[in-house]
Amino acid sequence: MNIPDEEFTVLNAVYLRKMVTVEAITMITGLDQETVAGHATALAGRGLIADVGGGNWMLEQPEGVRGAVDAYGERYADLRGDVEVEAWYQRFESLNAQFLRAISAWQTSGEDEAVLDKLLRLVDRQIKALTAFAATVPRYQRYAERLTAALDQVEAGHADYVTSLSRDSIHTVWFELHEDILTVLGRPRDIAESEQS
Amino acid sequence: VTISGLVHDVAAIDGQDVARFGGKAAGLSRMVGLRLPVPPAFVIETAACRMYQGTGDGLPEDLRQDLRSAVAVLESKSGKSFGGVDGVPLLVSVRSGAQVSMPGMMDTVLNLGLDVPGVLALAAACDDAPFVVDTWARFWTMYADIVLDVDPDLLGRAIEHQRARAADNLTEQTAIELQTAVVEHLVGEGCVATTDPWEQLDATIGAVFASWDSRRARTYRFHHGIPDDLGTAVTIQAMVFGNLGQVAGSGVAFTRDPSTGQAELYGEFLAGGQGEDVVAGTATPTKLREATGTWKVLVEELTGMGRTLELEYRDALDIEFTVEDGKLYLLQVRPAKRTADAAVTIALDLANFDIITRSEALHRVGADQVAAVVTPRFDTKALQDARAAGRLLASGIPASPGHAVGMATLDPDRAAQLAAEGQPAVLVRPTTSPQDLHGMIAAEAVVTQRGGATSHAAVVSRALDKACVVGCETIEVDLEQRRFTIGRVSYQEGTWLSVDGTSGEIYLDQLPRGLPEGEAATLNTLLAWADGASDSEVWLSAADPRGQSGAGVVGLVDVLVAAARLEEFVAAVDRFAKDPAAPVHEVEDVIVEVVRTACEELFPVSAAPLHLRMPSLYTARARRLLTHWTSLAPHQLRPLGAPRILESCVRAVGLAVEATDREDVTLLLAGVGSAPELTTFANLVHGHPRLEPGAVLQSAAAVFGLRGLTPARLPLWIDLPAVFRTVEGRVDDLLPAAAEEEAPPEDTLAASPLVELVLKHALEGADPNAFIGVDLSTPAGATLVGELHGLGLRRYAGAPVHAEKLRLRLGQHTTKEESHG
Repeated sequence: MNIPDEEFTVLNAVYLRKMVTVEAITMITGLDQETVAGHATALAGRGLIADVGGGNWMLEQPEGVRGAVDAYGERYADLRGDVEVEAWYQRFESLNAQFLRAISAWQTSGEDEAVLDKLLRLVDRQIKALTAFAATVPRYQRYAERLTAALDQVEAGHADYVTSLSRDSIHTVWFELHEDILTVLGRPRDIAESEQS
Repeated sequence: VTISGLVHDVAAIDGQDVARFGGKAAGLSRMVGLRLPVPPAFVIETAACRMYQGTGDGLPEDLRQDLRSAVAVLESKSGKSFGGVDGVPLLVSVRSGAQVSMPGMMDTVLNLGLDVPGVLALAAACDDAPFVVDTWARFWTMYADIVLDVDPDLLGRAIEHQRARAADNLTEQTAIELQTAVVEHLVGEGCVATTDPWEQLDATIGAVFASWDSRRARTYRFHHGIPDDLGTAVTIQAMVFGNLGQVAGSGVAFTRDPSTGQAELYGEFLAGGQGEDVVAGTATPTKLREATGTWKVLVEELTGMGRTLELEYRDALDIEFTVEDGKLYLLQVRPAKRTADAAVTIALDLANFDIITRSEALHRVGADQVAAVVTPRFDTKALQDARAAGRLLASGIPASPGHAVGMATLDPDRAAQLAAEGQPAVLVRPTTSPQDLHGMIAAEAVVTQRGGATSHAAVVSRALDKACVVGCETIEVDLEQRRFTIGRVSYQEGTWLSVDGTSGEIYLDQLPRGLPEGEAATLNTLLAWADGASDSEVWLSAADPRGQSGAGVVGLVDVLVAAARLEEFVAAVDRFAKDPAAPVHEVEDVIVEVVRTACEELFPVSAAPLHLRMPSLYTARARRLLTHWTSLAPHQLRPLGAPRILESCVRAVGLAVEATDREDVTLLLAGVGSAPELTTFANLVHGHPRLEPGAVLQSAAAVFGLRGLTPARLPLWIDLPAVFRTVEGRVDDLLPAAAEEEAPPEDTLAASPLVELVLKHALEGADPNAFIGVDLSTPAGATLVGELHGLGLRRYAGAPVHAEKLRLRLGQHTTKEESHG
């Protein structure tokens, strides 16, 4: 099955969220609503996702999961084993470990501003790293944009944009990015996390 | 006296002038004033920051000269030498010191002052090469991170090899190799990396000043209304080392136990180590109270200092200290972090010992902390018994506190499904991914087989305020077979688990939860002060022994739910909805029976006044529960529109009151709009000698006309969320549970100018003896509470889980002025 690029980003949004509204897909992909709706219908035609009402799309089990993972495979097979990509991923893991430590420290410090500073600087570094990587995976620019938007909110005093699950918060975006890069590289999360700890 | 007039010994400055010298230096100055031992330090005042912003070209020459003289003073006071080769090298810490800390501001660089000769000299002085290499590497990673904006972990990895070699065998050669590796990495990252301590000092001070003007700091100040021209000070302090000399070490002391609040010095120290070793957990420290010999004397000294400091800071403190060559130094003193329990105990104790006022005590505790104290937790005895009975299944890393009970569920979809059925689930996963989030939201607790305290699962659980235990390595999750195995025993999905997110322990079965009596009593004392200050009473919207003022507004439907009689009640009402002429034995007889028995169960729970809200057909809930709701005629939806149902309910409550010999029961009619309506209802209720009538006002029109209802002096409750909803034209529909949690509570009356106007109109000139309360089903924030109190409202009703917060906030609102005196 050959899924075009834009359509893949819509499938990926549903894959990462399992159940998601058109509005959320729009925000995740940066596409407009009409385009998203068109791709969603096409993906439903392929039997990968289903309209479950209330504007929600859901991944078909297990066809959708397999379809998404295969689409990743087709797209990114060349990247797997590439030295530069591996180096970028190692940088990501280094940033990721520091990020999770900083965000945990912020949560347990009573949201200390000095700790927040450390966290935000790590996000700055991730945005730079993502922008550099967008030459290899162009859709990663969108993660940089979403992180920048979350940063703006936090800097404007909206602390819920650090971890809230109901917002496109720093942690929400980062968590999805982490899952995304692992899937790009074809590495199951279990192994990645046990290597870390 | 300095040339620039901007550099000062902290021993000689005014410790109250935080604006000029910053919080750090002012704090040090106060400690010097109290004759407490702090390592020598000087401060560059905030005016220098403004000058630096003006020139934008490095530090001015006269400031640099002053800096050199000030460092010379540190050298002579400490007997060490900065950047030199004579004897022990002087290392310094450089800290920013704005009045408030803010993101974007450079914070701290430690261990500045080492170069290759210095490293060799320090190693010779302390005879501990690995420590010196470690100190140097820590300086470089911090300097790279803070001053040069280079990823410190990457630097750490790039120099790993050379660092290990130098630690193993420190010579001039291996030291140079390590330094070269550092410089090469930094140059590779596009930085100018000087190895000269003086240049590093200049660069660090410059970085502090520059960070004041960073985009992020400016944004923060803009949003917090902090003027841009305040500037930051820089404090430079000599560092002392816990491994120099015969008696040496480092530690952390708390003036009160940070987990219980008990007033005794608590903490630990590590002989021959630096503070970071204790924090990093790389060495096992000794408890302060178990100190012996010379250390015992030092701990006694520390205890006395703690008392002095508590009186000065008027709070429980945490004190970082180091002993260098037998001399005790205090490095950092700040208000101690503490658990919710400890916060309440400490506030109460400090007030009882007249260290702070009662009003201040109310502000030493946060609303969330108060809520945490009254969150049910596992009974200590039950935990012991479970352990003794071998029901402790597994222990992992505690990642998010809380005590939860639920059925083990290995799949997020099934966890969400269980929750939708009203069943508690404990999500047990190998690890978590974004695809698991809906399951985590639905579950009572999260347990993972792998991952550490800083995994995504931990971060998400803390954001959701849910118990979470990670890294339960002994649990083998088998997703296919829907079971998990611990040792040789397998457990099927659906097994009841009790999860202690505070200790990281997981128990088999459902452990009982309750409020710890001691903590609840301590809190109640504090909240009684709050009640006294606010002159308010908070009713609980459920019969609860904690509701001393009263139980209200309690929905009769909720009473039926609690008694598991709702289904029969709904069936009887549905029978009526389908056919208004349905026989009495299918409508009235059923209603009277189920309502009477449910009330007879409820009434003995508490003797406090009870206000029961009668069921209303005009609600989203009724629409959802009743199959034949659409068959109801419009007039039947009005408050008095279905007399067969209303009269049966009133009669049933009357019977229950008589059967249980209950006093003080008031029945409230929901949705009242006019005085005649209220009068009709009052007459109906007064038909039963022991019942009193009242009303719940749910529309803006009813509240607007409140003064027309007060002459009857009947209890009136304003259902504020309903008023907001109707005024703002919001859909009156129960949202799915998750979405409901996310719905923003009305945090201020300013959210609806019309509601504010209506309330003001209603309350100005209302009969001062009238019984007027406000019913808050959603948690009210500090602003809203203040506004309502300001309107003269003194009687509130809220859900039991929000009651303590509400009492505290009311007290805090009324004591706001005094507490900042």
